[in-house]
Parts: sequence; C-alpha cells; structure tokens
Amino acid sequence: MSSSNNKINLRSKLESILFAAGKPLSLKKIADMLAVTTTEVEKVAKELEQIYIDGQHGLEIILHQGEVVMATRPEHSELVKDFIKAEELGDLTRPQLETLSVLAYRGPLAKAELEQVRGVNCSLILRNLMIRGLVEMTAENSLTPRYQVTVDFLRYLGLSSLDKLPEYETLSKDEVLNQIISGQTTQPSGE
Amino acid sequence: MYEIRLEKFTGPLDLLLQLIEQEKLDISEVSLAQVTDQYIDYLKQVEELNPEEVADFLVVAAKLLLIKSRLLLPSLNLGGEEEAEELERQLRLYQRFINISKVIDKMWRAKRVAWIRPKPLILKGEISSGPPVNLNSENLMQALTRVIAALEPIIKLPQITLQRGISITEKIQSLKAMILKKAHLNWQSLIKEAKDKTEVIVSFLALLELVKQRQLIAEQSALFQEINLSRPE
Repeated sequence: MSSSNNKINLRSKLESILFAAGKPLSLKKIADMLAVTTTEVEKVAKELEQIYIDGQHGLEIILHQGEVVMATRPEHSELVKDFIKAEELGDLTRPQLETLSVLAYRGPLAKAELEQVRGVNCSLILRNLMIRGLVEMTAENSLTPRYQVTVDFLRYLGLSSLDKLPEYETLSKDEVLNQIISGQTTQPSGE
Repeated sequence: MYEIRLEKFTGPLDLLLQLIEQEKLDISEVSLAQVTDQYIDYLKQVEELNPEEVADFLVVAAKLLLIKSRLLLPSLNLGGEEEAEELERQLRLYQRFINISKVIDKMWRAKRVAWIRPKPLILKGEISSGPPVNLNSENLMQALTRVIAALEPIIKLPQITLQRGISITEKIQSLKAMILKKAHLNWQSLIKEAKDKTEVIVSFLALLELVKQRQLIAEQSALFQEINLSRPE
C-alpha cells in the first residue's frame, strides 16, 4: 500500500472511531488503538475537520487540548436539540463570562495566573464552572493544577477549535498579557 | 450617592473600570487618581463586609491611594511608579477581556450548539447486547413468582394504614355540635357507639379539652358514676 493510501485508511479509521464514541476521546487513546503516533492522529484529525467544514456535511470535528469529538453542525442546533430533547442552557453570569474568556484565550492557567488578570479570588468561580462542565483541570500531574475550558464549552459556542474565536491569534500571544500573567508582584489575597 | 452593593461587581477591577467609564475617562494614571475618592467612598458604604471578598478590593484601594498621593505630592518622591503602571496595564487588559466576554456572551446566547450523542454508544461494564444465557421460560416464571411474593406484604399494608384515625379536633367538633343541640349529655351514652378503645380515649381527651376551654361542664356525683355534660350558661 502507498503512503497516501495509508493516510486515507488512517483517516477513515479515525472517522469510524469518532462516530462510534460519541464523546471526546484523547488523541493519545486513539493513537494507541491505531498503533500510530499522537502527531499522526492529530494530523488526520485536522484533515477530517477540513473535510467536514465544506458546508455539505451535517457533522463537524471539534479539536481541543488533545481531545477530539464528532458533533452535529451548529447550524442545526435547534433541530437536533429538539430531537435529543436537550435541556435549555441557562445564561452565563458576568463572573462566569469573564473567567471563561480569560481561560479560552489564555488557558490552561493556574489559579494564581487567572487571578492576576481578574484581580479577584477565583476559587469559587472555578469550582462553579467545573460543576457546570465548562472548565476542567488539565490532565498533567503537577503541584499547581491548571485550568482550561472544556470541549463542551466549545460545543456550546459552536466552535470547532479555540483558534476560531475572534482575535484569537493576537490575544493569545499578547505581550502585555504575558507580562501580567507571569508577573507575580500583585498576588490577589486568599490563596 | 448611589445604592451600593459589592455583589454588583465581579471584582475590584470591575468597580474601578465602571467608575472610570462613568466619568468618561481613558485609563491613565491621572484618571486612576481622579476616581480614587469614589472608589474608597464605595467601599465605606458597603456594610457587613465579608473579609475574604473585600481583601481584593482593599489591595486595589491601597494602590490607588499611593498613585493619588504621588500625583498630589510629586516632591515627596514616594516611589511606586511601577505600581501605577502595573495597575494601569492590568486595568487595560481587564477591559479587553470584558469586551471579549461580551462577544462570548453573544455567542453563548446564539445557541449554536454542536451536539453529541446524549449517551455514548459503548456501554460501560460487562453488559453485552445478546440475550443472557439463563433466559428461559422456567426462570421467567420463577422470577415472576418471587416478584408476586415480594409484593404481597405491600398489598396487605394499606388495610392497616388506611384505617380511619379519629383526631381530637374532629371529636371536639362533634362534641361541640352535640352539646349545642342538646342542653345535657351523658358520657356513657356518648361512647356507646365508639368502635374501639382509641375512640373512647380520643373522646375523653376531647372532653377534657372542652372542659378546659370552658365550653363544657362535666359533673360526676361519685366515683364511677355517670358523667353528665352540660352547656355553661
């Protein structure tokens, strides 16, 4: 078999797995199943995302922080919502919106880094967003846990990845922001 | 002065930003100094401060005071240029995120959700999709017998619980009604129709209650003699 055939083969295997899973899977897990590297999985996942984005499909591929899931197109949100009888989503409060914005553009962040931007203690708001399934701790094992938005958050906004957010490129690499996040001179209280 | 509640603000930066925007100022060292008094007035008016919540507000208040003092008394060389710059930077950045959070709010409210299956197709655990090996009519019959046997006590239960209880209140009502009709009543005749001991006891308690309320007078000539009931005149 030629290498391009191999790739198509891998892509179609990934597509089958994503369809059957119906929930976010880590690239690592898929890589293990298909006996290839995580990088290879990520590459074909991105290809698949491009294929589905052509406007002729009813599905899309969401890629976020090493996880991938197949979901219905946001254009059909109402239709599918009625069909699966999903519950209505309540509005987000202002503190929730602030926290999610910072984490979406700059996550994963440690609690102290998030507080550096918001100027206020964030323990409660993080817990509350984790209960709502919009924020999660990263899988990495470290002494200071880091927080990021979840695949569900992306789904609710109808985004296939975070870089589809407005001004993502500029804000996610903003210098001022880097300085503030790394500068620990004004630690908020109540650590 | 306006009504103040700290909960209205998501944090000290939110309060600071709203004060500056209210004055239609740009974020600068001068504008920070200008809203310092308002910021501190604000904190003073909040009653029953939750110490943890307020700590963050006070940190910013201290910075504002330093900035203002520096501008008012430049000759004193108080230092703190960095703090001023940093607060300014922090506030500008915060403002950007406020703007972004409005965009995210709009996206959230647009309800353009990419749905996934409500339940994953793969079931966790040992459940397989084929029929269980021990599924046959004999087992089914036995299982149903067990279910019926288990149901029996439940079916019997209501007969006891549904037995009508007589409350003292009810008895009081009926005693009152009777005494209104007749001027005199006899206790023994009253309990003749009682179905069980409970009713006798309840009737007696009702009688005592009515005597206590002075709605009834009970007389007994001697021990174990008849109790005559009458209306107080």
